[in-house]
Amino acid sequence: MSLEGSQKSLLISNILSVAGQTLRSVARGRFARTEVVKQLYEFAWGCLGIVSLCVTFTGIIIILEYSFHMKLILANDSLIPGFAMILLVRELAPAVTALLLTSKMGASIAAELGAMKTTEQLDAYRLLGLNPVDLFVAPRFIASTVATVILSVVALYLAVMGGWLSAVLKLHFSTGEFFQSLFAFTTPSDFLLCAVKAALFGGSIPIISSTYGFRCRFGSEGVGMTTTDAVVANSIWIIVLDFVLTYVFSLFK
Amino acid sequence: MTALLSAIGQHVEFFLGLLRTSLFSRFESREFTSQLASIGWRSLPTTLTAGVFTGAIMAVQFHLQLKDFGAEATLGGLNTSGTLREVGPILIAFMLAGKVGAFTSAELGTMKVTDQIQAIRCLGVDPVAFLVVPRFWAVVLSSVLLLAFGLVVSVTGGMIASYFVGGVNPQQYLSMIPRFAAAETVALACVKALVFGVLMGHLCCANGYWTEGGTQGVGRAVRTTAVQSMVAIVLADFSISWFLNGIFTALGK
Repeated sequence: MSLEGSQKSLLISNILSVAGQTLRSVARGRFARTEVVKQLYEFAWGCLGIVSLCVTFTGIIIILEYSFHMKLILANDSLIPGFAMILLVRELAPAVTALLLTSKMGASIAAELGAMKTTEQLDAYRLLGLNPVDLFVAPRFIASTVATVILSVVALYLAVMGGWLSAVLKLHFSTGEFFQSLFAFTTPSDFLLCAVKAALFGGSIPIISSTYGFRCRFGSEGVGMTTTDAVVANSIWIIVLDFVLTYVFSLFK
Repeated sequence: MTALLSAIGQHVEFFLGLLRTSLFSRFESREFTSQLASIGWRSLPTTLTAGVFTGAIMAVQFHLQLKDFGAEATLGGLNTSGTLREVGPILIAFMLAGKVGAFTSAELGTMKVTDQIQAIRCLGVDPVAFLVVPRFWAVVLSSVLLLAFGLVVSVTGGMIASYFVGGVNPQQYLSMIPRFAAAETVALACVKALVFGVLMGHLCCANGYWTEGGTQGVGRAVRTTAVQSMVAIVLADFSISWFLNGIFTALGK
């Protein structure tokens, strides 16, 4: 686990090596157990407010924005709420949740490990025979994967409620129409896609962020730059992975 | 509650200070140009990737939904209008908040914690006029331009994805756009880009300028900027859509 003096060109191999070590640490059960609980609390409870707020507003707005144009395509007006909401299930609930977690938790992981690296705390742990991946990365990996799935489900529920409110209050659908069209379109496989996306996005956030933290250069500019780069790399990876997953899903549909 | 109100007050005060300084002090055009070049140019690849994939993801999603109705021909219109109005601005602005906003607040924060801002003040120069105002306008202008660029690219990304995934040929795709994405869609996207740019510029300058507490403070400032920008973007997105759609309906569009 020596990432000191690594070159920029080795970024991808560094990420893969951290990912491999994390998975091995999880498989062998060598990760710090109490840290998992602590991180789960940080991830799930600490981000619940912001994730719920943002995804709910997205749910409210998506139905307002799309109802007009969908009227041009669908002959049957009553299908519109379900048609708009399915986009939330398949796409926006996991993607927006993951992007928010990236900038909150991904940035804080990168900053924390970067500060540890520049103050040589990571070296101290290694001297004691402790592996930083077992201590820091693996617990965050587990916590983040679980928390992102939980948060997306909670956020999805709240967003559907938000969509229902705006459909009933602003667009004058009845509650019955809304839920009937919602369940007419969404199938269990859509919720499975949402959960799979959330789990994969959530799992990749700590791995990419901690790789950037391990690569942090010395100096006060280092930590700020590391944090920025980690957030950007994570966001790009999430959006690319999102496309791949959506495409694979569309092949089976 | 008091803390929240006083935080809002601080932000308002800082923003008014920015506007006042930009009106009444000499404008540092060289600093502005160099910031514009570094922020705008460096973010171009990020924006390009984000734009292409956002358009492509939405195209795959909409194709999946339209397939059931045999309405694939309208994919171009629905996808362009949906991406320009709602999903595009949000996802690309999220990406820019992580890139442009975090970069600027990391830079200002590093200057603050290494006492460079104090040094400038000792030289008898107003740091707000010299450092913050040019950065603010550079972030505003580059966010607006990048957001507009990202949206144009997302239309292209959607077109490419529809061709390869949905088999909709580009000519048919483009021909559907004017029917769905009229002048008000473009106006909506422009207003959103402008407002998001101002919000990001203000938040990253304020949080960078207020950084305290050494290296870890810089990491914290970056994180705060990213999280606050995202929440502000979602809330602004909601309000703009709500009000402008009200205005368009009133105008009889």
